[in-house]
Amino acid sequence: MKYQYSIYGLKTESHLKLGVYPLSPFKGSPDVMIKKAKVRRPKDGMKRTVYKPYSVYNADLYFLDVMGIAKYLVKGENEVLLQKHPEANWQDVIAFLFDSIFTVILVKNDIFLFHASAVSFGKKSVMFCGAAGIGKSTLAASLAANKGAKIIEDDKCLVQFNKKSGKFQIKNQYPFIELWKPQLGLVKKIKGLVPASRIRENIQKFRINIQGHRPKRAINLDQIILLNMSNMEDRIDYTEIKGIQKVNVAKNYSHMHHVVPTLGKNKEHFMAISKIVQGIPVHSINKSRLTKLEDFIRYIEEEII
Amino acid sequence: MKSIQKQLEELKGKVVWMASYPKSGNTWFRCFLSALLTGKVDINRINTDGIFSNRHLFDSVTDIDSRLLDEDEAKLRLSDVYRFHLKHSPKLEFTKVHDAYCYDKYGNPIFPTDISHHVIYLVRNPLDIVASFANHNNSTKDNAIQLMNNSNGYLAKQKNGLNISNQLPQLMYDWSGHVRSWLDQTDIPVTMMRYEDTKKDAVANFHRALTAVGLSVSKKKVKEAVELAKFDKLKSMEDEGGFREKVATVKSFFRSGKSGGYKDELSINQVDSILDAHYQVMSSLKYNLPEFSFNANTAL
Repeated sequence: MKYQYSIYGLKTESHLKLGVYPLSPFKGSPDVMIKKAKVRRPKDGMKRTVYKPYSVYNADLYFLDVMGIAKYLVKGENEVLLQKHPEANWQDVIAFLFDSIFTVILVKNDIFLFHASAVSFGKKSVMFCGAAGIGKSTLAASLAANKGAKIIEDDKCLVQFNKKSGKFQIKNQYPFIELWKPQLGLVKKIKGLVPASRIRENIQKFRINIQGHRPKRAINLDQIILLNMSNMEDRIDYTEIKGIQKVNVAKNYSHMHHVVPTLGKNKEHFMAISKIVQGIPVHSINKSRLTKLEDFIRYIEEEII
Repeated sequence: MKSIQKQLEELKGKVVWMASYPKSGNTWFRCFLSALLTGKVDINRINTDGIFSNRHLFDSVTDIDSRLLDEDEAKLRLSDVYRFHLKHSPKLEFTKVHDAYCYDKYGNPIFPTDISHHVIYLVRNPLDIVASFANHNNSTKDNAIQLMNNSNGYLAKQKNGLNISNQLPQLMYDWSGHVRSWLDQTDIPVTMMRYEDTKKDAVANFHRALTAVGLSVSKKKVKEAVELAKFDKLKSMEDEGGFREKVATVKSFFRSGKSGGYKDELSINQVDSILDAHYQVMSSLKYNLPEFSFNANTAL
């Protein structure tokens, strides 16, 4: 049995049903194959290769061992092999496939995702970039629950150029938002969201389907905001980043940007980010941990959007 | 005498764990080390080597988002994360730890002995920790006492399964459990430093700690570093420019730093609650009982 999906635009055929991810049948040959197979850690001593305790990568391969869950191997640009740990469940195997492995296969195909959530207000959209745990999803859900925004994308954003309009746009690719249990109250306030399922059995993070809520069409990207957190006094610093600094700073907000050079995609990464940020304002927000979420959202609403 | 930098390079690949229950003088020691190594102290750029529970380090070494792991799964990987980190470090590292000396689910210590050079265990009278810990956690003193008396106490463990703190959850046990876990373990050599002794004679005590670690530094240099890292200087640095390690919800990290300050800050009931729970370990560390305590005298 094979299952077909569109993963950030890549035609993907999988031996494994990817949980709740929507099927998307396609014609022609796939861009990416996901196969169940025996996976071994690559041998030591390869040149230009990073060896870490649980991962090995170079320009040709990316190996990841999520101990007790699965081993994954990305071969070239179009093949993902995975071997489930005998005691693991498939839900967990898929959670880590979504988290790291998809990003790697996309990078191999010159597709770079921002570590970001994006919302739209009518025809205007803003992308909030930031590290895990900074509050991107909560911010997007709060803006949707309290300010009438639409969630375009959560956690990882693909920004694409539209030749017709000559603009960079975001269109929903991954039809879920992922929220921690304490934030689930927001979900009830947003129309069109389907009740949540856990990402992993032992983790209190939930995946919520936004297919009935998200904008159906691609939306022009009007602004990129880079979120940073500080322990300093209750203050929000909002600064525009200009010139070449835009590229240098923004590329550090690509998901798994640290593996990009070793995967041999440094130049492609720089060029891709450079094109995107050239015509779009990039701002950095330094938010104190002391700043309350409602104050921060009010600031975003009044000062920025 | 070899320079301190040279001595640290010769011990590369190893780590000194600066272990303590929170608010026991760990930051002071780190500021002292920073002064010793660089000749200056900037509390927002302390020149030691981070905290064991650093989530960013964990994620970048494992290539996975640790928020997707439960505590057992994270603990299983900690040893490998630190081994890898030290393999790429050019010198002996000094790493802050608030975790108790504890084990993963297979019974292996989470602090790998093969890379552990020494433990400096910093201990402070728990009665003096209370008010400072309450300030640190932006909680009441009673809540601080509750945590200090909880044999399953944690730092950075969030409520309702939320797991987004920039530090991994740290199992501390209760105050006595924390002390015992580090002082009773025999896997790694340990030197205990009482905060109160260091307050009385910082030069002698910091010098003793460095010697125990195997570092040869003149008392003159230690004295210069102690001067740079004096409590009032650290406090005025925070007053002027803030302190990034402070929990955002509290006014200041450096409070009074006094020994015996609890006499003006705790009620008799609060003192008794600490003594009831920790009398034995306090006695073993030569912390005298306050005369006005009722329950503890009965316990005698």
